[in-house]
Amino acid sequence: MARQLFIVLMSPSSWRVMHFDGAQCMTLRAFERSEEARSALLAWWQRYPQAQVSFLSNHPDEQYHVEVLPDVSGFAGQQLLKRKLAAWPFSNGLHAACKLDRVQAQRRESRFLFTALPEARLFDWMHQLQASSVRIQGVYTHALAMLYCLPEAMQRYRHTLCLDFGQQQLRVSYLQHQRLFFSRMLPLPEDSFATPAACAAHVLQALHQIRMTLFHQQWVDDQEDMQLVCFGQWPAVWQILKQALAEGYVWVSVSDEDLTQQSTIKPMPQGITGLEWATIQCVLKRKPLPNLATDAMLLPESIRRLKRTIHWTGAVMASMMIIAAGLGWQITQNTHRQLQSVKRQLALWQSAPMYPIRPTALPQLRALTQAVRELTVAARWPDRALTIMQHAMMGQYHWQVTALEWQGSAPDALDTLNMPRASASKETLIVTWTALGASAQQADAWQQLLARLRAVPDIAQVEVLTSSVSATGELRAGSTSEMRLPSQQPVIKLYLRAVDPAGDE
Amino acid sequence: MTLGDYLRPLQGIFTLWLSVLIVMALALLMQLVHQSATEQAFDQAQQAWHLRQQQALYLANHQSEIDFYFASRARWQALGLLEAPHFDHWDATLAAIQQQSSLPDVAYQMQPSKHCSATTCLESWPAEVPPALNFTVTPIQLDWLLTHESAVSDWLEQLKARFGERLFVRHCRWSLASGKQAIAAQCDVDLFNFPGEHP
Repeated sequence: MARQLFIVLMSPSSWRVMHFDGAQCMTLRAFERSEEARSALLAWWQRYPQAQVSFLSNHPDEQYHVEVLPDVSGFAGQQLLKRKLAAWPFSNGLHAACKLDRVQAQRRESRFLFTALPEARLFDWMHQLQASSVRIQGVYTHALAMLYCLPEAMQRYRHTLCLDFGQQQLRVSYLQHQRLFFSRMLPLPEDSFATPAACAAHVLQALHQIRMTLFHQQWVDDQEDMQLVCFGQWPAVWQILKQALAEGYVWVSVSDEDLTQQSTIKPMPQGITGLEWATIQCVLKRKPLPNLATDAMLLPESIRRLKRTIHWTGAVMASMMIIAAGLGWQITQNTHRQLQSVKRQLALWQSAPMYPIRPTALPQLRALTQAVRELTVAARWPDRALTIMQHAMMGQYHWQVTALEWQGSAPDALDTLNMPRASASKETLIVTWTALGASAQQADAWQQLLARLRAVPDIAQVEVLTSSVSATGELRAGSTSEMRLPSQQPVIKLYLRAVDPAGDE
Repeated sequence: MTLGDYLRPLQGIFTLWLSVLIVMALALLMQLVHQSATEQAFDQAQQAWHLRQQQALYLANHQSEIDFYFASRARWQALGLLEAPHFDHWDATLAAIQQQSSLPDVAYQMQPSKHCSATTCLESWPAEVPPALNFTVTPIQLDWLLTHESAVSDWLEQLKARFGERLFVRHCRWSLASGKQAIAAQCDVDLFNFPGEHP
């Protein structure tokens, strides 16, 4: 909902009240300065309880006074200003004080502009308005609001005199560095100044007086040019004034079109001047104008603002907490879910069947099983050697085996040093023979026997040793010559092939 | 115009918001406490889970050994593999074999058992890889007087059935006895035990 605002343009003759809805001007009504009109106004405003009321004064009674105070900062400066303001005779009603600038004279000094609107009836009525729950935004003066309406190009001059021609009145304001130092309204009743010449003469005299005042205040001197800015339409008087004030003045005229160019709302309503419309824009845009309303009048509004701020702050903090709590809750839920899943897995693990083995016993278990496996793999049995020999001796009548020595493994130290491990574990068979029958047949049979033994696939090598009763590791001399006649008790050594461990079981 | 003029109308709404915010802050605090407790519990559970996984990995590394052990444990206990050498048992076993299978008589000489650690008496260990545990080895010499050399094989077959992997045959020798009527056979075997190596 757009902001509702009533702006009261107070002039000596009448009040014009504009009703704004947001930036939109709804109505413009004029009222007489009477009790009945005030009652009607109150009734109108009470129909809009959310609306705010601003007063924009353009009155001859307005007081402007420049006070120079020693430059004291902080709380002491505020107290000093308060005391000075209290000593000013117009500070009982609607008034305001604003700092103009700082000057370096004998000492550092601050200049303040005291503004007042000494209208006791308005002051009382505003209290009545407050009692009727009408929201008062502020009381402003036309002269102070005008500062914000000057076009940029005019801000070069140090001294500016603004002339605002209205109906039977002329407001003269003196600006130094775009700050208001002095303002006065001159009434120009038509019956007294019927001709432009008479009017111009009156204005010239007034301007001369004002210039003298400024000069006595030491605000202006004769060296510098003064800019004269004219608002409004009064061409006949202008021409005369322009001719009279040619020396030392720079004339600038600002038309209503120039002023309304900056306004966002068009067209301008009927019944008000361009400068008035421009100052209204300042109020609408809440420019920091000096507010003549007292603190007590502004209290309800500032409390309302504070309440709104507290509500907003509270709401923002509460929503941040809710968001934080929501996020935290979500994170907690997530963590909780993960925790449950880990717990489920742990429970699953614990319920799974397990061997009753301590983890610390596992190295011992591994050593034991490896030792047993090694024993199993290394085991050799003499059956194979016996079977080979039985097959070899089948149908053999000339040679008889008298001794058989089978060595499973456990090679002696020499073997472990010189031979690869695989051949070291080879089974060996040492066979001692005795001849039976005639020697010629023996030799043939011996050769056949050797050939047969060599043909056996399981025998890797046949080695013929010298005649020896035993093969217990004594020194032996032998020869591999096959054509040599065997002795009566030949000895041969058979190396069996290693069996595939897989087929050994 | 004092500060009190401002504060008095704002007291109610200020108190209201303050209490609402305090309640919410307390709720938020409790929520945070709950969250941190949950996170702590989760961390603990995760640590337990990691420990479990490490144990599982460790067990999985030893799975084949564990399976082998549990598959063979009963047999090993029956064979006496995991106990100290028991000479009476050997004696009784040989007598039982001889009676049940009507095999020829055997004479034996049993030497005292040698106690070996993982690093000592490696020459008694027949396999390539030395064992990583203590064991005992008992050298035994067996003597027969036979009519046929294959009776040794029958005997060894029976012994293998009774002693299994414990028995390791090192050396066998057959020779014609004087008069060539009989065969004298001799075998050297080792009997291995792993006493006290019960995981």
